Amino acid sequence: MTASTGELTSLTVAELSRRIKAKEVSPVEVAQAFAARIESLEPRLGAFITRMTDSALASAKQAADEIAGGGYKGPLHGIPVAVKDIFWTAGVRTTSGSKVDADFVPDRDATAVRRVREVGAYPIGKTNTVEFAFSPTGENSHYGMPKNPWGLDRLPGGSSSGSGVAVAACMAPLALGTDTGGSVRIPSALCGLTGLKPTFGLISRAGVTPLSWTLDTVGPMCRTAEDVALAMNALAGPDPDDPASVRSAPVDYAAGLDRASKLAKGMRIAVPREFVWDVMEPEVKVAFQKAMEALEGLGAGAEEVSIPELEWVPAIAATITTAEAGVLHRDRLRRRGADYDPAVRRRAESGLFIPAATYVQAMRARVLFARRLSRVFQRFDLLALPTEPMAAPQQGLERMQIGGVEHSVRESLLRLTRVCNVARLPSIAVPCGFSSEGLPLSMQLAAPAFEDARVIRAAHAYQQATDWHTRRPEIAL
Amino acid sequence: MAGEGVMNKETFLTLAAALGLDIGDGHLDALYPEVLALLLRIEAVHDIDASEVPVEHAVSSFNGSGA
Repeated sequence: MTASTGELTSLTVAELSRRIKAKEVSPVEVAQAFAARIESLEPRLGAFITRMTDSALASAKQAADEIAGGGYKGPLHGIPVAVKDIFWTAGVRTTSGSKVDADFVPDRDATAVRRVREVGAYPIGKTNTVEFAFSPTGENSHYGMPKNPWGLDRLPGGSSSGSGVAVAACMAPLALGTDTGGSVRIPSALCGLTGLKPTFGLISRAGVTPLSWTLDTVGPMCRTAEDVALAMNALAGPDPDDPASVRSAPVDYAAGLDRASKLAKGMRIAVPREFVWDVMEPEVKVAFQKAMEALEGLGAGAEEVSIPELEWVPAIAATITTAEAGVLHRDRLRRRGADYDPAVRRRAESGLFIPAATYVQAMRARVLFARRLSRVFQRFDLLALPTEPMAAPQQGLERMQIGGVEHSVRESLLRLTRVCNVARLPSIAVPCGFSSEGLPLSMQLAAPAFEDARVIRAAHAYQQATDWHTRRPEIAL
Repeated sequence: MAGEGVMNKETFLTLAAALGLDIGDGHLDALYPEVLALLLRIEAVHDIDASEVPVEHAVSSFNGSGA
C-alpha cells in the first residue's frame, strides 16, 4: 500500500470532500485508495459480504467527470460508502446476513442508498450484519463475525457490525447502518466511531429489510460529528414509500458547526441518576465523568436528574422488537426455519408467543415513557449517558463480569442504547476515552425529537475539545 | 422448569402447532426455555400504569414525536 493510499483512507469525509472540491485529489484516486485498503485488510477483518469494487470505480470515474465538467454536487460527491447488507441495492445481492436471502437481488435501491447516490456518493460494498439485524453482538454464523480492529478477539458490536469495522479500519469513510435497539451506536461505541440514531421517521427505511417497524431507524456511522452532519444532509427527508416517514422542515445539519463550541455555552445537560449506573464498569463511569467535565469546560452545565421510568425500557423494548420480528419472519420461519442461525430463529419464533395484550400494553408504555422523558427536556437541552457499560467484550461469551457482577452480554450491550429507541429520540454515540486494555469507550448525547442537529453540534463541540475520535487502531495505520 | 408457570409445555406445543411451527422438530425443545425466559422478562410491562395513554394513540401513530 502506498503512503498516499494510507493518507487518503485515514481522512474524514469532510477532509476528503475539501480535497476533492479543490481538485487536489480525484474521486478515482479516492476509490482506488479505499479499494486497495479493503483488498489489504478484508481477509483479516471480514467486514464485507459483497464487495462492489468495479461499480465503485465506475461511479468514481463518473463523479470525476461531473466535477471536471463543473457539476460539483456537494460534500458527498465522490465519497465511497459502506452499506449494511440489509439495504436493498439494485442489481447487487442483499443477503440481510442470512442464508435465506443469499440469492436475493433487488431490482431497486433503498431510498437511503438512492439518496447518497443522488449527491454523488456511491456504495463500495455491502457490509456484514447480524442475521436480519437481530442481535447486538455482531455474530453471524453464515458469513462469519467481523473482527473488531481494536482487538481482533473482541466483539465488533452489532447489528451493523461490518459497517463499524469498515469505518474503524479505514476501509470506508462513511457507512450506513440501522438502529432498532442500538445497532448503529453499539458498533460505533465498540469500534471507536461517531454514529447517529436519528429521530424516528427522519430517514426513510424504504428498501431496508425490517426488524421492528415501530422502532427501526437508519443512521450514518463515521469518524466525526461533522461527517454525521454531512451524511444527514443527504439522508434525511420525507419519503412516501415509508409510512413512518415524517414531513418536517428541511434542516442543514452542518449549519452552525463552526460556532458549535460557542453554542455549547449554557447548554443544560441531564445525567440520569438511576438505572444507568447499576450495570457499569468503573472505568467507563470515569471516562464519562471526564467527558461531562470537558463539556462543562465549554460552558455547558451537567446535572444529575431522577428518571425512574428508565427501568421500564428493557421490558418495553424486548416486547415490541421481539413481537414485531416474530410477525415479520413468521412465513419465512415456517418455510425456511432450518436455514436460520439457530439462535436468531429461536429469538424470532419466541416473538410469536407474546400475547397481543402484552404487545399493546408495551406500545402504550412506550408512548408513556416518551412523554415522561420529554418532561426532562423542559429543563434540559441534552440527555447524556454512556453508550455502553463496558468496552468491547471478548467474543464467544454469553455472560461477563461488569463492575464485578456477572451479566448477560447481549442484554448489557442493549441496556443503555434502547432508551432512545423506545423514546424515538435522536442519540449520537461519541468516543470519550479508552479502557485500560486500549479499547474505545463511548458516550451518548440525546435531545428531543427532531433536534438531531443539536446532538450533532454538541458532539462536534466536544470533538473540538478532545481528540478521542482521531485515534486509529494499529491495524489501520 | 423455571418460568413454567407463565406457559406450560402442553400449551406451548399447542400454540406452536397453531402457529405453523413443526412440532415434530427437536428444535422446539430448545425454543421452549427461550420462550419462557422471554415471557418472564417482559412480564414487567404489565406493572406499568399506562392507562393515561389511549390504545388508539399507542398503535396507530407514526408521527415520530413519540407522543
